[in-house]
Amino acid sequence: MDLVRLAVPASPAVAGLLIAATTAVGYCLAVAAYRLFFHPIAHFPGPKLAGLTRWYEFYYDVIQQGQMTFHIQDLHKKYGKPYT
Amino acid sequence: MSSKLKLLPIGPIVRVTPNELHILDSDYYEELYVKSGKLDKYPPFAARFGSDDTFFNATFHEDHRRLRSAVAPYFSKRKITDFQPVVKAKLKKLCSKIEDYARTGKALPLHRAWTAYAGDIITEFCFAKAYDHLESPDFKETFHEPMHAVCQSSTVLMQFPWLWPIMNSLPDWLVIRLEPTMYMHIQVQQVSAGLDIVYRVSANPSGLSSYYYRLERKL
Repeated sequence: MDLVRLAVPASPAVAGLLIAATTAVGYCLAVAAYRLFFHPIAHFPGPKLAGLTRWYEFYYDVIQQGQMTFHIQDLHKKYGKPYT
Repeated sequence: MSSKLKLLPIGPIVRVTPNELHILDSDYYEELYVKSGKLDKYPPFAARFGSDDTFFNATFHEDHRRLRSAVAPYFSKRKITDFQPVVKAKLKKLCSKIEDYARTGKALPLHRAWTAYAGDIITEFCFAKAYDHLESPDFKETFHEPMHAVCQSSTVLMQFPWLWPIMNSLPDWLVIRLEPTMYMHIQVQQVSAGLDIVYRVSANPSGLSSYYYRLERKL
């Protein structure tokens, strides 16, 4: 009985918050799934994190100050293949 | 674009952001940037340099074509050829400056000298009056720092394009206190936006300055 009562929100405000949070999380998951599996360039090799979010580039370009360009060379060594 | 994507083979191609591929093959450049191609710019790339109402930054092919066609006559082969005497005069000035350094044995800041040379040619061509950076002692006053600032801020602006209008609406004194290099960036933008150009044109309405008359009328 206690479990059932916990699942029922206490007030409309809490219910609203829960719906908003669920929607936000759901939206993020949907975007992530799209980018990783359904995006037109999803099948190209590369780090999954880079395909998932632009914060990957942000880290190398802004935090590490313009290093993305050099990091791309490393990515080619790791993921790139010769033409087939 | 998507039809081209399907043609891409397996090769030195890596996905570097959600929407970007990097192709480590300089020959592919010719294939992608064909003359008849009608490609729009990737908006985050265009956002790197701030204002988006110039042909340099225009995201869509059609907008770019329309804005570019207004200035195209001024970059014809003929116009550039006619401009050669000015280029040669600047080169002569640069050489005489280098000779001064050779005579005194002082170290020559060559990177600044080239920037001053290029800057003088470009400002003379576009604004009908050189900024005379070649005359500044030790080439102290050049576009070297502003260009550096653009490179630095462009990486941030590419991630957060909405920063530009916010920064642009801040008063200059506040920006210079917060971040001096950003101030340089804004100065470059003001130059390219032609804020002080209109004045120069009205002061000297002959010759190449008609470039800006025409621009103002057409756009």
